[in-house]
Amino acid sequence: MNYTSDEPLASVDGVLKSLKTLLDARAVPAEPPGEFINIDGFLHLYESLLEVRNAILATSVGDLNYPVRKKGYIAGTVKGLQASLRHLTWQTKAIASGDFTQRVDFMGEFSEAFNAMVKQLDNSMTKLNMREQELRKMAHTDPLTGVNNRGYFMELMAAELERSRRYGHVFSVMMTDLDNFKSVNDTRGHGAGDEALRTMARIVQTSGLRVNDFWGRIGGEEFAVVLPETLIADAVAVAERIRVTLAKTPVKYENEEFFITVSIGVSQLKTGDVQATLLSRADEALYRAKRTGRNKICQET
Amino acid sequence: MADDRKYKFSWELLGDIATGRPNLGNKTNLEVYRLLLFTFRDVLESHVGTEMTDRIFYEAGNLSGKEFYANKLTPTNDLGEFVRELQQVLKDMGIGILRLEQADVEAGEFVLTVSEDLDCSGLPELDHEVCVYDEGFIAALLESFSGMKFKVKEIDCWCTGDRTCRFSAKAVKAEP
Ligand SMILES: [Zn+2]
Repeated sequence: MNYTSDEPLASVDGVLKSLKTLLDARAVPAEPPGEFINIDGFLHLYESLLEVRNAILATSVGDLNYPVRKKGYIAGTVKGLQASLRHLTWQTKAIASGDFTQRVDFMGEFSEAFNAMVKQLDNSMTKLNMREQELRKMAHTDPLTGVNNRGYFMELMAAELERSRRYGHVFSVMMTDLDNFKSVNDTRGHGAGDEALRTMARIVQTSGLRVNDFWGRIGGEEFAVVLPETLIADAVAVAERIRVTLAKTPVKYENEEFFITVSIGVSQLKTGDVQATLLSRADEALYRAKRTGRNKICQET
Repeated sequence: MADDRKYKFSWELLGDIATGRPNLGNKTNLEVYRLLLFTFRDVLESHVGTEMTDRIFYEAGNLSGKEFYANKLTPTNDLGEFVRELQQVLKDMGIGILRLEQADVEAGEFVLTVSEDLDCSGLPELDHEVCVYDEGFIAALLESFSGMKFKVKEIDCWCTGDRTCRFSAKAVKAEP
C-alpha cells in the first residue's frame, strides 16, 4: 500500500462511499476521486465497477455490443449475457430470411416461447405456401377438364417460343376442335357436352405425350397441343392417334353411350413466327379439315 | 519421410469403442480428458517452450477440427444449417455450448462463444487465454465450411476471469 494517511478510517469511509455511488447513484462523477487513486487496487476496482455498470446499462437499453474489457465474474457474466442476446439476434435474422429451423435452448422460459413462436411461424408459412400453390394451380387450370387454361397455355407457349428461338429448335402445334359439338349440347344436354370434353382431355392425356409436351383448353371445345422439337410429320402422327382413339371411345353419360369425333389442324414453327401467326396457321388447317368432311387431320399449306 | 512415422491420425484409429468397452462404453470422466490435455501441455512446454507448444496445440486442434467436420457434420453451404448442426453435435458430445455472435460470411469474419467449454470452463484464473487447441479446432471447422483459411484468436477465456470463451475468427486473405 503506497497510501499513507493519518486518518485511515476516514479514507476507508470515502472509498466505500465512492464505490457505493457507482452501484446506487443515478449519475457518477466524470473522473475517479483523485484522493484515492493511489490506494493499491482502488482504481482497478473503481474502473471495473464503472465498466460493468455501463455495460449493464447499455445492454438494458438494447446496445448488445458494449465492449467489456474487464475480467472477472461479473464482467464475465455480462459477456455471457451479451453472447446469448447476440446469438439470439443472429438467429432471429436467420428466421427473418426464412430459416424456420432455428431453436433456442439457453434462455430458460424465453427459449420455450421463442421456439413455439418459430414453430407457429413455420406452420403458418407452410400453410400459406401450400395455399399459394393451390391458388396458382387454380389460376392455371380449366376447372371442367383439369388441364391448363387458355391463359396459362399461352404463357407456356410464349416461353417455348423464346426457348426455340434461343436454341434454334423447331416445334409443332395442333389445334383440335370437337365435331358437331353444338348438336351434342343441344340434343343430349350440357352435361353430355361436358363429358365429351372430359373424354377428349383423357385421350390427349394418354396419347403418349412426352414430358416437355404441353397443352390446354383454349376455347369452348378447342384444345391446343404444343410438341417441342417435333417436326410437323411427327405431330400429324400424334394427331392421328388422338383422332382414331377418340372416334372409337364411347362417351358415357347417364347410362347412355355416344361417339364423338375431332378435327385437327397442325402447323410447324417458321422463321419470323410469333404466337398468333403459328396458331392461326394451325387454325386455318383446322377449318380446312372441318370444311372437307371433319374427323380428319389437315396440316398447314 | 512419412513412412518413418509411427502414427498418422485417421478417424478409424479412434477405434471401435462399443466393442472395446462393452461395460464402460463411450464415457469417461472429464478430469481424465483435462489430465491428458494439461499434462501434455506441461511436458511439451518444458521441452519446446510456450510458443512452440501453443503452435503444436493449435495445429492439433486444427487437425482435429478437420477430421471432426468430415466425420461428424453434414457438408453444407448454408451458414444457418452449419451452425445449427454444429451446435447440436457439440452439445450432444458434451464439448460445449456454442453461440454465434457475429457472422459476416463474405468478409470472412466471425465472433463466436463457447460456454461450458470442455477445455477450460471452471479452471482457476490465469492471466492468459488457454484454449489454443479450441482456436485451431474452430479455425478448421470454418475452413472446412467456407473453403477459406482462417485465423482464430481467443479473446475472452474462462481462465482469464470470463464466464465464457469468446473467439474471433478472420479469414486469411491470400497474399496478393
Ligand atoms: Zn477458454
